[in-house]
Amino acid sequence: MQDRTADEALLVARSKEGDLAAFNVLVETYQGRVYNLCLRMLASPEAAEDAAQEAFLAAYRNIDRFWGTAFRAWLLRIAVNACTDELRRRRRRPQVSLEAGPAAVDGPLEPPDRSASPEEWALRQEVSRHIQGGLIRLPYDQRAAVVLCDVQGLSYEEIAETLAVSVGTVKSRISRGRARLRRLLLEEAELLPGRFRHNIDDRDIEDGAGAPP
Amino acid sequence: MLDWLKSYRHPLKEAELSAYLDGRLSPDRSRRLEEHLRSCDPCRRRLADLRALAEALREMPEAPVSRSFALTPEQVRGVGQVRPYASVGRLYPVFRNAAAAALLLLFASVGADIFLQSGGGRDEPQATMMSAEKNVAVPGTESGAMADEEKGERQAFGENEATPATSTGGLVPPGVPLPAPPGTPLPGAESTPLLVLSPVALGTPLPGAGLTPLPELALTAPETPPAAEAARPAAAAEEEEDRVWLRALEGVLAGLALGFLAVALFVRVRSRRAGTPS
Repeated sequence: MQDRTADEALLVARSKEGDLAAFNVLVETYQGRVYNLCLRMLASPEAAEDAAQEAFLAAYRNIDRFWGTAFRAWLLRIAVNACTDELRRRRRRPQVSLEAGPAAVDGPLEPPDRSASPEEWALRQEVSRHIQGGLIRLPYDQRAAVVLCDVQGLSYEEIAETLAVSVGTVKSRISRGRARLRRLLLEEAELLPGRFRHNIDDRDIEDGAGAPP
Repeated sequence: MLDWLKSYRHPLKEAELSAYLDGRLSPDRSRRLEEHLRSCDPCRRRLADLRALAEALREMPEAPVSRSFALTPEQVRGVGQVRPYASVGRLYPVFRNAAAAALLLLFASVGADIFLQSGGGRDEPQATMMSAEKNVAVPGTESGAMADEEKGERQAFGENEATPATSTGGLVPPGVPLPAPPGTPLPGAESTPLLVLSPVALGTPLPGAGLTPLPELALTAPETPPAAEAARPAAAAEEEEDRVWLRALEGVLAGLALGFLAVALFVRVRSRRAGTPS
């Protein structure tokens, strides 16, 4: 871990001197994460590609201004901003809809785990499509917080740094995002596989319960 | 405890469950929440829901990157052109600090200048007075004149900070009483009506002149010594020279401070323009 950080610091330093090859090593390291973040934020492979490319270009242009140690958070922040820009751009040219629905992210997905049966894999794919459909309907801030926390596995602190907000704000965005996502998924629960349906009869309790509108 | 439990009835705060799920609830609150969950079936199922949701999000298959996002030299060609400015941007703190240093020195020299005029000037008349005592033996007059002179000096300095030459020209040699012509209102006596003033200045106090506040002018004006120039001591000349240098230094420092500040701002603006806002 320390080695990785040291390597990263060296690569960042060389990138600052204009060493494109060094920067591209960083790109290779983080492109999967950045692209997937964009994909979950935008639910469109094309839009995600554009946003990820823009993010890396912006990172290279601005690497002079990066002085900290948390390169990953800094890069993801640029990626989140690139997604915002991409969203705005696509809203201005609405021929490509980002609200295309659950089936929007249908790119080739990773091969299934060896441990999982084909049925289990198919199930996961279906769940994933539904969740993506719910994610894209979340308010942008909540979506970013939920994706960074639950999909990308970042700590509250790192998310706070990435989104430039306080940890308290992160906490509240995550909780509201999850609550809303849950409601959204329950609304179409009939379409969901078993484990999301197990308490569909509770719907009267939780709706409008704790989460602010 | 009971109050808290009441508040914990439905609707349950979503934030508590969410934080609990991430292990971000304090041990105390976690324990209370667990207590509540033991007796509350709907909350328990809700927590299970959230847990399943978080798990499903975590398990979302990672999409493979369809292409490499490595930047090509063509893509960053534009960046290369503006890069010099971006790296010059790092010089911003240098110029900013230089401007600050120049400004500090400027303040120091202005301080020294003021000290020379007030504190330094006070030492000096004592020396000159000793030599000039034979000619002008009215100490009260001296100090009165000095006070006025100081006022005049400060005003001149305050108004003409940017043009040291003018204010130096306005300097009155220390120790020399003001060569104010009779009837000319001094700074301290400005509010005194001229009509009342002139007879006093002429040295013919009227019997009813008790109403007139005694102006220093009454003492000063008749004392205007014609031999003042001759009595001007060499020390005063030296000090005046010092002040000229000091003023020159102030000018240079002010120029430097402004120059550095301008360069710092320029550098900052250019480096900002060089990169896209993120």
